[in-house]
Amino acid sequence: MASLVRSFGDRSLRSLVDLDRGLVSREIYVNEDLYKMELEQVFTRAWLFIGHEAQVPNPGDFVVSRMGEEEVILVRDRKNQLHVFLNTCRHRGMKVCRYDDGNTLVFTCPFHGWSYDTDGRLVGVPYFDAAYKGDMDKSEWGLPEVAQMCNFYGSIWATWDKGAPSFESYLGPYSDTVRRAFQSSDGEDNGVELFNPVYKWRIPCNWKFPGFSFDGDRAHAAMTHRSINVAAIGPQGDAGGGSRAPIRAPFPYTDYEMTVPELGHGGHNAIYEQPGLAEYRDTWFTEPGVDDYYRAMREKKREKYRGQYIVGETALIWPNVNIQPHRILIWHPHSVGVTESWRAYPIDRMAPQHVKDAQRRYMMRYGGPCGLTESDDMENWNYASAASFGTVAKRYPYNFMMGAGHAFVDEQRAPGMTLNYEVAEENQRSRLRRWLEFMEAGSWEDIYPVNPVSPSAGEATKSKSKVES
Amino acid sequence: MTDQEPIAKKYSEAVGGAAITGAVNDAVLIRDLPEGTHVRIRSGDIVEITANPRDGGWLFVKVLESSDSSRIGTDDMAFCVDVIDVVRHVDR
Ligand code: FES
Ligand SMILES: [Fe+2]
Repeated sequence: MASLVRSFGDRSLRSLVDLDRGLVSREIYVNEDLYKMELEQVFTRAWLFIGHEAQVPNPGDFVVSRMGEEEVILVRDRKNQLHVFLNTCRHRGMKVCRYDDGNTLVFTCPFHGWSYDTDGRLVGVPYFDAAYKGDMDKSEWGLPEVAQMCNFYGSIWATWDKGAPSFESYLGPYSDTVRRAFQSSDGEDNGVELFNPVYKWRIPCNWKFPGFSFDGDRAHAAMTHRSINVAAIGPQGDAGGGSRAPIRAPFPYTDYEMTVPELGHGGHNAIYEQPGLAEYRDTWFTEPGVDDYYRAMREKKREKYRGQYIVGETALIWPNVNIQPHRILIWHPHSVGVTESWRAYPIDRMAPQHVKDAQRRYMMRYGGPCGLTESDDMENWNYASAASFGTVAKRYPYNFMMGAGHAFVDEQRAPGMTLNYEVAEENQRSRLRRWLEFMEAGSWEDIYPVNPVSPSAGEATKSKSKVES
Repeated sequence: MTDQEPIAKKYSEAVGGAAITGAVNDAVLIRDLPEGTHVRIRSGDIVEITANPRDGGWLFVKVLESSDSSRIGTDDMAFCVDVIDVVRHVDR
């Protein structure tokens, strides 16, 4: 931080991000010092998505995940408790786990052989009695464990900061959205598992290109996705003119850019004009039998939500994960100009195999490293990043002006939320605002509580969203 | 003369001075030893493998025979280079 302030003379962070005018210096996407600050100020504080309990169903099961640049291990210990540990040996730093997933009794370090139980305790030290002669207390040298972990309806989240608010408070009005994203399609809580493995690949752009734009940049879709919008990759094939999104029954709604600026979360969400869920509309014309399953599940879910207004189906949860019912998109910072993209795909745990296969094929066509929609996105993020590092290029700020000053609230129908026209840059400005707050904050006390918001978005409003980015 | 020297010395005589590094090509390879196998460890104890993490480094063991009677019946872990001999094989 010190070197940044010196090298920038009198330019404080705030001078790089002018939210009133919607002008943002490219420095925050390309500057090495700022990037290093983010790892500390954002990624050791925020609640981050780790994985799903269904990835580790049995004692000893583990899966390697990531928080910021650093690897962590999600593991179920022998007493069935879940833990998230930093994947580094307390002796001299070696990774104690070099597999993506598996089952183990202990994590034995390949370097000098220190061995850790699945509950993190250091249990084995070679030559312990003879060489340490009682000088070291093994109980002080367990694997570093996150400060807080939350199992939120099966999804696992963690933070390194013991001062962070509870995960549910952190989500605020979006807690309902995240909860429902991990329901099976009949509306049962914790009803999904993730396809294995998780997709992982690196793209040459700063993590904020995808992280701040996804589910908040509706303006890009018409141009960026012009080709895929007419390529009929949806489950319905070219029926009805083809679309990359499944067919849905009509249900009166208005789309908005919806966000909680105080928390940084938001998505393309809709406010419904009536309660309940739309009836199921057949859409899997290219995959026999799948509609039968989803139709039956939807009927159960409609029954469950009869009379209730539904709030947003998707949300970008600050800082770097987009949660949707059938896909989870995570953008890990890897270096200032490289992002490690991860995709996890939830699927109804009890779905028959042909449904799982059909859903997997659709998701692979749609997103991920070779999915057609995300190939479009990557093209833009990668080249925009490359064209922003230049000495001259950095003199020109990015433009986030769209809709600035035109946000509004609708406490009756969308309590706690800030709304804007469905094509606006409101969500991106929210994330930039939260970024500034995190980067300037000395601790969580400076950034929470914020203007308190109700944990559930109330009875009167509601929303769904469209899969877009 | 430190307390572990007699053991190291004894072992060195047997294997040619490579006890600590484990650099011996007739070492007992523990990775695939099944549960129930009895092995002799460097202290002279005979222990039974109760669980094998199959990492090639460690075994979970129960002490069967020891000159220190308080150790008999206790659970412990045995490091690879401390496993000197297999005294009872079991079938996989
Ligand atoms: S670094 Fe892990 S045992 Fe030495
Ligand atoms: Fe070496």
